[in-house]
Parts: sequence; structure tokens; C-alpha cells
Amino acid sequence: MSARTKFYLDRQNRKFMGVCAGLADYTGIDVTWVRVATVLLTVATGWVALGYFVIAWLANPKPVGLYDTPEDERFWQGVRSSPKRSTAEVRSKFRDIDRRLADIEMFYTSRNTRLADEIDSLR
Amino acid sequence: MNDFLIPVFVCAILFLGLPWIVFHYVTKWKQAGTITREDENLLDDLYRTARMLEDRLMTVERIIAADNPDYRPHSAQRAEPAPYDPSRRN
Repeated sequence: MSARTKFYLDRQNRKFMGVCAGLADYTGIDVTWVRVATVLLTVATGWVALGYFVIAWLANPKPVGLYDTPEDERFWQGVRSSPKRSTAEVRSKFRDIDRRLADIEMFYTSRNTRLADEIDSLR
Repeated sequence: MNDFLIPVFVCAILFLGLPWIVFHYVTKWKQAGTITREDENLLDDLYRTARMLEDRLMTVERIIAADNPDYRPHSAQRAEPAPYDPSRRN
């Protein structure tokens, strides 16, 4: 399994070399905005174009099947921007599961005591 | 004296101070923004487990709700929040 916290070039959705599509995939920002920002910064400063080629030369293309589902992709985008928040989310998910399981347990245990009471009253 | 000191200060700031600040923040950003490979695999595993458990739990809740009409799943309870009552404020 290849690392999902690394930056990859997105060759599938590329317009030129896949750097903008890769950035959009990495951060979760819409690819159009990344491209507009790149073009504007290139016109304004100039060194962004140089950075573009350096990134295109340094980064690897994205491996096939990095994410199973779009939900997976969004989760890993969250991990890249803030691992702490993502772990907190996973923990809250576990707590939610625990709470719901406790509800089920409560439901069954309380219902069984009621059932036992009824059996007692029939005697 | 002053003519000698100013270029020394400028050179020191340009070639020592600025790279220092840049690298300081680069290392800080790297420490804060990334997790190790083991942590990544652990997080992946936990996330998968949580999703799997949630799916199973949803199935169980549906089955219980179908068998017992008086059982309300937790997700249904959350849908209607309690009305806000200012008198119950702490």
C-alpha cells in the first residue's frame, strides 16, 4: 500500500502535467480554482511557473486505486490538512457506535426484566 | 564605524536570519502537518473498522426496529432535538 499522505501528480485529470490536479486532489480544493490561482500567480510573480516544473519533476504520479471510495478520498484529504482532527473524528465515530450499542443493550435488558415480571405475575 | 556595521548587519540578516526563519517554519510545518507511516496505517485500520462497525450496527438497528415497533434507533432520536428551554439553563 502506498502512502496516502504524500503529494502525487494526478495524470488522469491533468490539463498539462497534472500538478494542479494533484494539488486539488491533495488539498480538496476544486481543481478550477487551483488552475486559476496558478495562472494568476504566474502572471503576477513569474516564479510559480518554475515551481510548477520543479514539482512536476520531483513528484511521482498517483498510483492506481489509492482510494477505494470517494468518501475514503475525502477522509484522507482531511488527514493531510489536519491529522489531529481526523483522529478526533474517528474517535467520535467509535463513541457514537458505543452509545448506540449501549442503547440496544439497554432496550433488550429492560425488555427482558419486563418479560420476567409478566411471567412472575402469571404464576 | 557606522558605515562598517550596517553592511555586516544587512548581510547577517539576509544570509543567516532569513534562511533561519524559513527553515524554522519548514521544520515546524513538517512536524505538525505529517504523521508517520505506522500512524497512517493505524489510522487507516481504525477508520475502516469504524465504518464496518457502523454498517453492521445500522443493520442490527434496522432488524431490531422491524421486530420491535417500540424501539427507536439512536439515529432517529437524534433527528428531533429537544426544544430549547431557557429555564433549564445552568
